[in-house]
Amino acid sequence: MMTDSVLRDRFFKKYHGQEIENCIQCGMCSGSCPLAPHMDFGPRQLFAMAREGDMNEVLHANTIWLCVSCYNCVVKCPRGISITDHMYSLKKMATEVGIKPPKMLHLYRSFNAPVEKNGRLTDVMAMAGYGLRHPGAAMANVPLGLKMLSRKRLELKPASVKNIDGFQRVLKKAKELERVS
Amino acid sequence: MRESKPKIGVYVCHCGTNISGKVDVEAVSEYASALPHVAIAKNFKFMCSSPGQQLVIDDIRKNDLNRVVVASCSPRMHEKTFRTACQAAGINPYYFQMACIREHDSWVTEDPEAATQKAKDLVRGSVARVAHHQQLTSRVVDINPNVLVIGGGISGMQAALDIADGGKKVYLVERDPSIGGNMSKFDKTFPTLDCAACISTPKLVAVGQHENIEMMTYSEVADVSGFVGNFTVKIRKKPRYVDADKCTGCGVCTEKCPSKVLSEFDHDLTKRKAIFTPFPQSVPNTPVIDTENCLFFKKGKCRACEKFCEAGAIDFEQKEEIVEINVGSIIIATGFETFDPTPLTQYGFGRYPEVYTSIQFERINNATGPTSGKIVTKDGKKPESVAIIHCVGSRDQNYMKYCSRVCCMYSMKFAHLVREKTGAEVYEFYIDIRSPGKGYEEFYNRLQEEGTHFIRGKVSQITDMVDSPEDEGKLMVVAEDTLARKVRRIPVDMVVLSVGLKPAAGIEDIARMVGISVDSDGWINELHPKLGPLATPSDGIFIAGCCQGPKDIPDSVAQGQGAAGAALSLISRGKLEIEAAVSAIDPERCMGCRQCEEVCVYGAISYHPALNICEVNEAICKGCGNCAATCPNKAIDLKHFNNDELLAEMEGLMFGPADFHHGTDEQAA
Amino acid sequence: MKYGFFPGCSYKGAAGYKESTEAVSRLLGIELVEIQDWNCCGATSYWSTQSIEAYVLPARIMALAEKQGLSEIVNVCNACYSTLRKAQEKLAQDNDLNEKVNLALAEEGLKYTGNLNIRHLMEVIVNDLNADDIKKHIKKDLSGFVVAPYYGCQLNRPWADIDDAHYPVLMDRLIEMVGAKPLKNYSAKTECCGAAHMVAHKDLCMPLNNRIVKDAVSKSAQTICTLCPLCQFNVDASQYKSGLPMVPVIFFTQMMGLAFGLSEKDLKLQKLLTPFKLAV
Repeated sequence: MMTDSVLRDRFFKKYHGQEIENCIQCGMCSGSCPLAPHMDFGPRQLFAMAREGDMNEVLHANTIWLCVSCYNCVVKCPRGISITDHMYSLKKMATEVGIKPPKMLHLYRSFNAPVEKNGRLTDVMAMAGYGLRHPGAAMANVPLGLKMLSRKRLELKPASVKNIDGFQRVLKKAKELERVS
Repeated sequence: MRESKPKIGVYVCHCGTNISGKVDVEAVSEYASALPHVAIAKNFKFMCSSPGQQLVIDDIRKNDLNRVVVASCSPRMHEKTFRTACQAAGINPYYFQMACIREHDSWVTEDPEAATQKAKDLVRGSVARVAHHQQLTSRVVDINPNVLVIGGGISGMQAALDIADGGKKVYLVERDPSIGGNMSKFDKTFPTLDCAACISTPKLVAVGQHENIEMMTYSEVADVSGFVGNFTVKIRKKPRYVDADKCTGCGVCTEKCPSKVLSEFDHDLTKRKAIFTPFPQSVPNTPVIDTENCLFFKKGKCRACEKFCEAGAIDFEQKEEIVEINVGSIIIATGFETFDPTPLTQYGFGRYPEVYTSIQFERINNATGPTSGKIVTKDGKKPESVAIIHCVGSRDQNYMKYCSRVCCMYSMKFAHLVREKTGAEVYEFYIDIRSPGKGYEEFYNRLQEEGTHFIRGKVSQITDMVDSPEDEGKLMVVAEDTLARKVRRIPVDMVVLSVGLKPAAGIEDIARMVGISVDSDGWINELHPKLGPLATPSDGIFIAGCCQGPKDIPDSVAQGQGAAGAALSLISRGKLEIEAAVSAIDPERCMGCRQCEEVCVYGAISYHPALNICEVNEAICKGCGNCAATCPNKAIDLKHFNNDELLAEMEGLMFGPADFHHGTDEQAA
Repeated sequence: MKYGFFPGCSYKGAAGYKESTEAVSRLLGIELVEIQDWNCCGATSYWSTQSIEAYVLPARIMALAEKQGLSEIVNVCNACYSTLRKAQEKLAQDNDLNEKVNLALAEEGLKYTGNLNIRHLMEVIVNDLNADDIKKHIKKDLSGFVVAPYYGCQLNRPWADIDDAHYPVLMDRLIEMVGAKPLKNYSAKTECCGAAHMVAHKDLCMPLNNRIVKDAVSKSAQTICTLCPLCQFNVDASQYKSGLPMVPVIFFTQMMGLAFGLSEKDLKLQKLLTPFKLAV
């Protein structure tokens, strides 16, 4: 396990998290956040913890995974902090330190896998991947799925870019660059 | 041109141990004694003390010294002291030079040896320079004892009254139809809860009746020229269309006027007529006609006011007038206006009828306001709960990054009034309670005891979307309660947005006219943030009240009195000596390119089209040297900082005694 | 008028978005030139998991457009729109990242310069066309049709430059232009629908959607008009078997199509989960 101070340093330097030092703890972000009531800590509190170095606690909080990217906090933050971007960074850091993957990470992986493979996505493909890990959720959505099917809304054929080789070479190179950085 | 061979006295100050603790003062004075043209070199405990000054005076007289160098602190501290001493001893004060061996040396150098060496270098530079100094004589101008006060709010009124009471003439210019400013809109004042009208109305009346005050309401400053002691100001008097001499202030015209528009004074909560006085206690109580809404001006018919005016005071033929006045000093007291919260769409101001700004809420509480002082919703109901939202527009880099200083206190005043008048629950949403003032923290404590809900959190949203049926018709105030760390959605009947303060519109124009600057937020820059809060870099221009930054009433009044004192002090001097170290343009060399005019931040340079040359107004020039450095034809010399003097100083600083000796001798010859 | 067009992954499957967009663009003379061989933009999923790939995906789309000689990319999805804009903005600020992204794109012989305007079709219609060019196609009187304009999050946040962040009005104007009545006090117009979180955290997101629907229903809107496939899906599907009062959720292109006299069938309104029937 990486120490709090190493993680804080990494967040501040590599992920440009230093900006959160400007926070005046007004709570505008948490009040604006659609899912804050369900978070372990609202963004305000999360940043208060992060800047004092409680990074392991921060990275294990559900907060970062409940950010819906609505940018409500960002446009209103009186200190101009890019809160949503910091949530993205913290999600990546949490994944790096190997937290137990929350549901949203499963969803993101189910989303990314077909994109990596085909370059494009259909809802069915993403749902199928996610449904394998969360059969309960999948079952609950069966009636809705059937309704969609009856309205010819489900795209069963996988979509793909044509120059798939080229696309995959690009992604491979991007992955290489990501590893070295 | 020098009158006689330089004979220099050098005095090295110990400044207690401030200098001598680091610099070997004995060695420095000994070193100085061997420098060219130095007749005497001494060191002394405190050169600025009376015995220290006397030492200089006695030496000048006894030894026929004609130049003096004191090596001590910064010239900002004591240049004047020693110039005066030189003058007292009978030599020109500009035959003096100061070497700064404290701020520039002993305080900032670790190694005593290096410090001593640096002191020697600095003294050498000053000795070389002073040998090249020229005699300068400063000019003396008379000070016009009249004062112009711009802005008739509480600060401007107080300044005008103090000066007028001191027996001097004051012109008080106010752009609105009445004096009184923002304070006359308020109901109670924090933290004492005394009635704003009760304490301000007597001031309005006193100003209106004072024989030394010439009130110019509904007027604006159009142009300022001249310099300290001698300003010429043009005032634009807008036509009232009512003859103030005939008008009795009976109010029949207003009563009969058929045209109604939103009232600026009530911040759109009520309507006023097209011929109106802003509020019942207006001074003067002569109405004005708002031509944009007057039916006669718009459509050419009506004239109801004229028909019913028994005094025959209505005059549709009145024209705008430009009046010229002469004053010796100007006090700017243009005040503030409140922030318009419309851009913060998350608060729904303008969309939800029960969202008010704080200045509107002042009017609601005021006995002359839209509800005669009763706190009721637009449909006439007494509210059960009221939210007061701090920091609207303030402490927010999207709008105004500064704290507006008064909002916490006035918000708590509102909470008290709501509790007192309606018994409603009051929620104060704050980020930090700022109550630094006499009796202010105690007022906060009192409000806590009264049962006000203090919720620490900046409100995120005000919405009519309610989650449970019993809240139907209410506004939900959404905020994180940062201390309980939960998001609260609180249903209320009324919301007050405690909007911040910003500089009154037009402040930049005034600042430009008098040659001063505003800061990045638009407030006027004072001369010095600690030691010159009421002065500006333009001599004779003073500031008071909120034009410099947000302030409460006590501070605004104090500043009004302070600025009045500063103006009276200037007047008492009667005459003013003008600094001689100013720039001079050689008309023979000037090509009239006007680049100097462009770079002069004081507006001291003017262009003569007929002669195609520029000229310096010595009374305005501050000797900054911008023009001299800019002039492409080297036509401008900054006296006391001319090339001869500066080069000699630099040569002295850079070269050892041998080179130095040689150089100076050649030049002196 | 000719524009580069990025349909995005969910365009085709969205209830009648494609059919209505094509029909309406044809009528208005807007030529949407599809970017050849486009890929998924990556959206929130990539922002949340990848540092460089998250930029490479949108950059590839934009590079393809540049290769095609297109100077503007029109989007029909808020997430695509914001992803492209966000990538463009960061790539302009960060030279090092820009270099890396171009290194990856070079594998396919592509180059990203960023010299493009990223736009949304709704905004294009309102800002680039004259009101009269729109009005002249009106065949059906929708003056009694009250439409709640639902903008969602990522069209105006975080930029707030083409319209207000919380209370935008562009689509209100469009609704007015085609002769329908925009719901004037629709407070939920930029409330969040929960986006992808509807999949994994449906229980938490349902109240959000209920608010969006309830505010429209209680203020007597006859339909909610959207401009993003995910918004449309969430707000529509959240009503499925909810037992609460329902309101159909259509795309702005379908609303325009209705005004232009296209049939409900042409506009594929039968694909909606909450049934739509025009009653004006």
